[in-house]
Amino acid sequence: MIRFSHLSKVFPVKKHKVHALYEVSFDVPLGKVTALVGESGSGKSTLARIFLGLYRPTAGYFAYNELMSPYMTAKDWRRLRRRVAMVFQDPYNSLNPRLNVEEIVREGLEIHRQEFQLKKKEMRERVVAVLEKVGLSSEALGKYPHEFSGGQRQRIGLARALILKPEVLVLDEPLSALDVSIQAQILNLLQVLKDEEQLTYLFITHDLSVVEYLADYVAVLYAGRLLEYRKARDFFLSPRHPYSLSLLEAIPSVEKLGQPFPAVRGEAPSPLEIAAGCPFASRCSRKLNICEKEFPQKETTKDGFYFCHNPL
Amino acid sequence: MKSWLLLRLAKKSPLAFFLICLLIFLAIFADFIASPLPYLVWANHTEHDIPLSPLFAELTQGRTSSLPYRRLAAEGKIKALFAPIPFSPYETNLDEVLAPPKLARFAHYMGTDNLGRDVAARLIHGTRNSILVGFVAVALALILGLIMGSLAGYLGGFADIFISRFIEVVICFPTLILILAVLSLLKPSLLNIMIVIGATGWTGIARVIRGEFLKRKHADFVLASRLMGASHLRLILKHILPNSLPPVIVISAFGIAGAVLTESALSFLGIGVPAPEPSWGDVLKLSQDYPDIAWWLTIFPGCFIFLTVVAFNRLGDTLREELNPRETFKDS
Repeated sequence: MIRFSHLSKVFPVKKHKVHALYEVSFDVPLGKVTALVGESGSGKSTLARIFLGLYRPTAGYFAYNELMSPYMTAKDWRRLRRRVAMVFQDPYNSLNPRLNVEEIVREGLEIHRQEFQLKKKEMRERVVAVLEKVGLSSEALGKYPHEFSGGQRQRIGLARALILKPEVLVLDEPLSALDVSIQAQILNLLQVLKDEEQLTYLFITHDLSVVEYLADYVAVLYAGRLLEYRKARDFFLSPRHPYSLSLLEAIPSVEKLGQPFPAVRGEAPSPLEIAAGCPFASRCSRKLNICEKEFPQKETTKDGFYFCHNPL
Repeated sequence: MKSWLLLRLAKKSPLAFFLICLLIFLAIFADFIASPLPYLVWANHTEHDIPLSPLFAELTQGRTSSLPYRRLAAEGKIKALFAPIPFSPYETNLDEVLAPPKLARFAHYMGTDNLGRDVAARLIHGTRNSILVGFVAVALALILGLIMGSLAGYLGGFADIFISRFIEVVICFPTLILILAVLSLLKPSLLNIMIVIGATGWTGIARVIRGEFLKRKHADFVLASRLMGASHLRLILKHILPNSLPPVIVISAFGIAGAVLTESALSFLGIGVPAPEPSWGDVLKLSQDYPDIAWWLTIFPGCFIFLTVVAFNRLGDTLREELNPRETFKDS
């Protein structure tokens, strides 16, 4: 289990403070897919980056097996990086244009050379094996990233992430830069890989139709706050937070053709200050008086929890 | 990929490519192109105790001979094959001071200077010095610029501020004046000239490298490597630096042209390569004293300098087009 506990992150921007994340706590079960959902600026990437050690949280901690973030030494971080890998959104910017596929995928083995003690030939065998796993042939070894399409590049990025046989994969919108037909291929690949390698996915996305297909758990973030954390099936059948509902209603579908699109009115609140109440209050159709004054208590259901004064 | 680049350059600007190859050829083989010693002598060896090939004998064994080969050959006493320019750059002849160019056997194709030295021989041997100054000075500037620029761009913060301000201070010095000042303190030697030109010429490279590093150090592929636990050195050498090099290569090509020009200017001012070592600027300097009688002292070294600068600038332009990242790295 990965436990996020009371994580907050404040970025100082000139004289202001930007609250990217505020008091976020939830557990990510291992071997499952947990989707982090929210619009841009909601703090989902910040959360992932704290987990990867790119940001130090302003408050709170995370714990992954025996590793607890405030007490981790350089050696612990190295151990974490062996076990956690990341897949990026932009397949064009995430592969070094000067290296060929073999060099790109092999790099993890080179960095942890002392641990593996592999000869060049054994490294190549591993690279070929992992390339096959993501659906690329060994012909790709000597080619450079610009010779591939977006979908194939994303496969290379996946191979790079898998070479160290990680336990957790952080996927930062891995599909949003791809064509829809390619999205489906990669999505299927992710599904297969998860089962074969017993991976835990931390899946960052704003595309709920992808979440519906892949995720076991859903965490909804809004303006740095966690609003709802539920089992995916229950989340889609009966969302409790009004913001979750509006996200679900915003999924385009053929059945809703011809009807006006239910857009959420207004803008997300300024990240410069944390509102006393619910951050969604200003846009919420079910707003009560208390909503703007006080952040709701955690309400637990049998399949998760949510924060709302006037739930659905 | 590198060899492809050379091919593309040769195809895109053949003239510049040819000129640069020619210059490098002249610089390397100057001893074989301009020498008073014949390549081969095939008659009357014993009579004059001449080795089969006086030129190779001198180059390989250091056997110098002061025999007047040209006269012996002209008088028909030996039969010999001479270098295209059968003169040494150091050989003075006070009977032929400021002789105009003439096309004939054993004549001075580009005339002689005020000491009767063959201008063609001096220019060809000067190529070695001029080109060497160009390459070594730029190599030095590259090393300095890469290190300073990488540090500033990668470390950021205080290191960046410090290095950037230092670069601005160095830029503020008028280069030529600074070089004049330094060389008047140091002994003017080829090495000192290279060092001084290199030590003042790194700022442009450092700035570009810094910018490239700033742009790239947060790229996803750098982040990916960092997340796997890569060291700083690995991030710089394997990921950021190779992607930052194309603009630097372009600047270096222009830098070579600039260094050649600076060296010529220094020699022209009399503090370049020390006499009697030949260099282009050194020949050009003499033309100051005889502007109306010895046009060949102006035209020929001027041509050498002009063609070199044009060729390297053209090379820089072509490199800029060929290394354009939009064409090279990204498909549509």
